[in-house]
Amino acid sequence: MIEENQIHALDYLGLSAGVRLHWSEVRQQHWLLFPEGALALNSTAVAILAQCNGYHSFEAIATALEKQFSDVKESDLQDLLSYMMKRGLLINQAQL
Amino acid sequence: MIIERPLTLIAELTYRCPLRCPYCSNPLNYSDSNYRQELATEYWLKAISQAASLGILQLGFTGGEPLLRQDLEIMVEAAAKTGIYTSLITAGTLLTPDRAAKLRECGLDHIQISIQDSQAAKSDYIAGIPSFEKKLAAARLVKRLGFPLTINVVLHRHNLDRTEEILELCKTLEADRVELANTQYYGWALSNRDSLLPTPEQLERAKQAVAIAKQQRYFPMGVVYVLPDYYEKYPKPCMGGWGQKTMVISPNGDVLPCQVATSIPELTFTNLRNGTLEWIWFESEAFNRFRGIDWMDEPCRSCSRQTIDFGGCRCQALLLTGSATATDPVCHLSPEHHLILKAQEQGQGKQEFSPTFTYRSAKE
Ligand code: SF4
Ligand code: SF4
Repeated sequence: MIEENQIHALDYLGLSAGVRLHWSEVRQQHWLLFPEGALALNSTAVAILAQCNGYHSFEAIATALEKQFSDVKESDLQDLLSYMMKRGLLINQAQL
Repeated sequence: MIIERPLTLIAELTYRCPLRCPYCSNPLNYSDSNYRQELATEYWLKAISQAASLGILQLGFTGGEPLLRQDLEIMVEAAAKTGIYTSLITAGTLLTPDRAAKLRECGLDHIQISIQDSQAAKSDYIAGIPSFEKKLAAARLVKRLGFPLTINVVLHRHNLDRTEEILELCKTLEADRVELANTQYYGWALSNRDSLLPTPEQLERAKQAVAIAKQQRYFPMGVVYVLPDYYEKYPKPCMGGWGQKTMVISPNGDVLPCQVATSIPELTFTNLRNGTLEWIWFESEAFNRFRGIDWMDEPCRSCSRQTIDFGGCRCQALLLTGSATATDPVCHLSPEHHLILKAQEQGQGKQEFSPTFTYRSAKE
């Protein structure tokens, strides 16, 4: 079970300043680019990060994702968002 | 052997710099005519488009002081159009509000500013010119314009005791990321090694200060702490492995696997004027010379860590042992490890004396 307050910390996330998505034609691969780093993204991660525009709650992203991918669990979504937050790549824009 | 595509291009636009840091990684002969003939804009633009086709994702504009190139904005704009992530690595003193705003417009993604210490007089002493206040102003400007800010600091005997204050200063400046790198002993730093080598106690305290900053999450994008390899058991995986991740273009257009690779005399480097980045990466002799593990001697040849640290740094091996295929003497398994122990001792012996640096300067 995911705790209620953990979920709310994952509401209204957006990419931090200086973080952006990039499609590399040569590598045929989506990337998240940021200061001194690059993460290769699979299609689920791209879909999740595309939803991170500061206006969507965790629940809203989870619902949107379910429609697109039948096999993605809510805990996977939570893991990805928490990881990105820990690395400073996503921030809660409701606080700004 | 499968050769992966490079991730990063380091563009050393010029070796000119108003500062005179005694640990500068630019070559000792940076003022030679060969480096003064800097690559023209058109070649840099060609390199940027070749980098994009090669799949490079990160491009760092550095130097010397890259802001001394008045065509920097043109290059940033061209790189941004390809989608490559662009960083400016600057000492900060020449970052005026006008240029910073223009760079923002051109699509620059990120700015790194170096500081030398937490206090003006001490920072200026290392930089060799008054520069501290300008650096702080530049850092504030970077934040005001909405860029992510990295502050980088080279650590050595004369500032390690203020690691905590340095981190506090970075926090006040609202740095998103901090890089604290212990001095690596090549070029100028090697000539000043006895005056720069820290004590183990200093390193221990610095480590604690970094741990606190990490734990308290001072910086949203983290703190990178580059260990002083003279005091480690194993060497660093230099550049993530020779010809594995990074390409460097020096101011005259020579393409190198690492910023100090010119210190290995047996290597000849292809110039951008004579070959494409793609050919240089996959085919050139210099990039293949120490790629993978086939070039290794013992003890690396039969060691289980050979794909973890790649035998350490080739330039350090050559500079200290005289052989570029030797095990990096930093490794405790190296037959030449005594060279490192001796250097440590010599450094300790000089502890009480006030430092006498050879500041970075042009040859007469
Ligand atoms: S290390 Fe110092 S002298 Fe060397 S390029 Fe950087 S700022 Fe200039
Ligand atoms: S012997 Fe070579 S491969 Fe083994 S740990 Fe030392 S440097 Fe690394």
